[in-house]
Amino acid sequence: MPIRPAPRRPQAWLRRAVFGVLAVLLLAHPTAAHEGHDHGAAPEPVATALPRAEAHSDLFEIVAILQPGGALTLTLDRYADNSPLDGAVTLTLDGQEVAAERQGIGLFVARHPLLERPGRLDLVFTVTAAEEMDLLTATLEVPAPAATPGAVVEALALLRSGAVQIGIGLGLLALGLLLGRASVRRPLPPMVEEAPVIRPVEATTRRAAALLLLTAFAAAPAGAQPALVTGEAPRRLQDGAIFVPKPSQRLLSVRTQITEHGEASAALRMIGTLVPDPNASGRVQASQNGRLEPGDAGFPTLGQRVERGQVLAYVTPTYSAAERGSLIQNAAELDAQITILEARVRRLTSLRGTVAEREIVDAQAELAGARQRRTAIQPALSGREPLVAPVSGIVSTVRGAVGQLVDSATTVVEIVDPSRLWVEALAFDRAALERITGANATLPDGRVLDLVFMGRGLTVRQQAVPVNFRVDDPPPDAPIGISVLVTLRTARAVQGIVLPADAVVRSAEGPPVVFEHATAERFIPRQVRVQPLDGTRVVVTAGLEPGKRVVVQGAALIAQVR
Amino acid sequence: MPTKRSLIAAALILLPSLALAHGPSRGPNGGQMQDIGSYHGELLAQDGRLTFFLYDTNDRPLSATGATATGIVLAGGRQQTVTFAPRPDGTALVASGEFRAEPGLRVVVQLVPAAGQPRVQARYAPIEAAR
Repeated sequence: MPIRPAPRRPQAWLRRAVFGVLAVLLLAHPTAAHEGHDHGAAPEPVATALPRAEAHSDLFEIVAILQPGGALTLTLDRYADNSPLDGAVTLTLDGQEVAAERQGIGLFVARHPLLERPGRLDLVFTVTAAEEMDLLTATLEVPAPAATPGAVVEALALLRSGAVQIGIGLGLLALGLLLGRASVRRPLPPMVEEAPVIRPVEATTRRAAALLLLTAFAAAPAGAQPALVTGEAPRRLQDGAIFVPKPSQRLLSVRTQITEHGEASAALRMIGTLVPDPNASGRVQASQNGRLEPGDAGFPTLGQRVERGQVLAYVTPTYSAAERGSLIQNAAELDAQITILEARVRRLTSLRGTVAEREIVDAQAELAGARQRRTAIQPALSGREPLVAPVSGIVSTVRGAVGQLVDSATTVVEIVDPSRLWVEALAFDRAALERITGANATLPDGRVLDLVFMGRGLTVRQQAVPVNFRVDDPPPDAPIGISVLVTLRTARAVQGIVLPADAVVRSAEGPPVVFEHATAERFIPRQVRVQPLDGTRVVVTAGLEPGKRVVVQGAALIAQVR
Repeated sequence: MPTKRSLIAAALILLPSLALAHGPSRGPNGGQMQDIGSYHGELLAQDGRLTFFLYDTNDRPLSATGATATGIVLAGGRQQTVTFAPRPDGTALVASGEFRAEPGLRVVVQLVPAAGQPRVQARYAPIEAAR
């Protein structure tokens, strides 16, 4: 009997210890998660996540970003168009010159102990790019390292350090194993009334041991997580401007242009359709009902090049029984007639001299007529009709298959010459058509085709005047029948700032905006009034001043920043 | 890739806007005016000689005695550091070095307006390019 209480006491003690250790670990984990979260998205009143400085001259723009490790990343770009600039940058810090190591085109990294000292730091950049040299100045605020005062925080930090966590994990593992061993069922002496009570205790100790093991394994990865340098994301600022860090600008290849006053001719836009040139396209149709048979070179296929006069297919006529019967009857009658006429011609010819010459000629003419009628009826009876390409070009439509029954006037094949295309458009503004100086068409994929005005109809269609243009040098893969945007240049001139069409994007609110590159990493949306110029350019007539930098490439991507 | 001509054009377009941004760019002594910290500074460049005048925010001249300054000079592809010393009459700081007053001349003045005050700096392109 003295053995019984002995195994129970250590179990109770162990249970308490297990719960204690568990509590410590569970307390430690939330703080660890909180710390990791804080590091990534610290809400700061300023736009920038990392300390940075920027400077520009009329040629260069330089941005210095202080990375968490104390390395200063420098990006060098052209001021006017924001393209990365290859060159060399030397930093002067407190009179000491530090050469920045080149990492790529327009990307440099500088390291110096002064960069790790908190406080204001005056930077002087000496920039050399090809022939140009310049001095640029900037001020960098090096922040004090995040303060962690208090013994509790230090203890927690110690608890979070990798070695300690692994140690705790191993300790818990050993504890768990011990517990498991302690809870192994032992043969108990007989005559024990409390035997059932032990069982639940065993179960809880086992569960606790399993939990401990799990905790021990869970603790290890938390310590092994490396201190990642979080990339700064572009974002929309409170005042509506958009912060795009230089590395992101490089990724999006944002390019700018300095605005300039100019004059351009006003343009008119309308929707048109790409159609084949009427003189260089054709349809192949059967003239009678029949069955399609492949031509000498097989049945025509899409994209096949065909020459004028080439036999593409045959149509074998199909007749109803009555039609066929009357045809055969006609043929039989003609055959009989021919036989009689032949005999008559022979007889009369042998009597030449005694019969009138006119009779012989008449008989011969009658025979020739009968033979011709017989010949004419022959193809209908047994022949087939060849379908001939009316023009040279590319097979653009095939409506039919070998063996298919076609009606007369069914278009079997359409042939188009892709080098000769027209655009048919509907002009609603008739007055503007009087002063057309040029035109072009924009395909849905953005390609621009030059157009030559060919003529206009006089009859209105859908209250608009149909206008025809010839496409100058069409691309070989131009999709025929597609809708295109036709831009007509007129003689009227407009004043404004000429920009590429890509510079103007539609804002979420509706009106068109352009993005002004205000400072190195800030883009300000400017609402503008635009008029189309041609397929690729627009003219900004209001909302933008000359001498500003405006995004001409990547504007749509900046507009998507939330 | 923009051509050199377009760069020059860009520079020409930009110059007036820069001038606008910094207000009147010429000081009473004919040098370039810039904001330097909470002061205004005028830098006059001649061959081998820099003269720096200090003004308050209302462009009233200030005495240069007690002020110390160094200059980083970039000229002819070479960078040098010069030290300014007060003129005997105390109206300006002067420094000398080996450079020519050319449009490519760039000077960064690092100024301690008075002992104990934080250092401020400003960039000058004192010689305007001929139009």
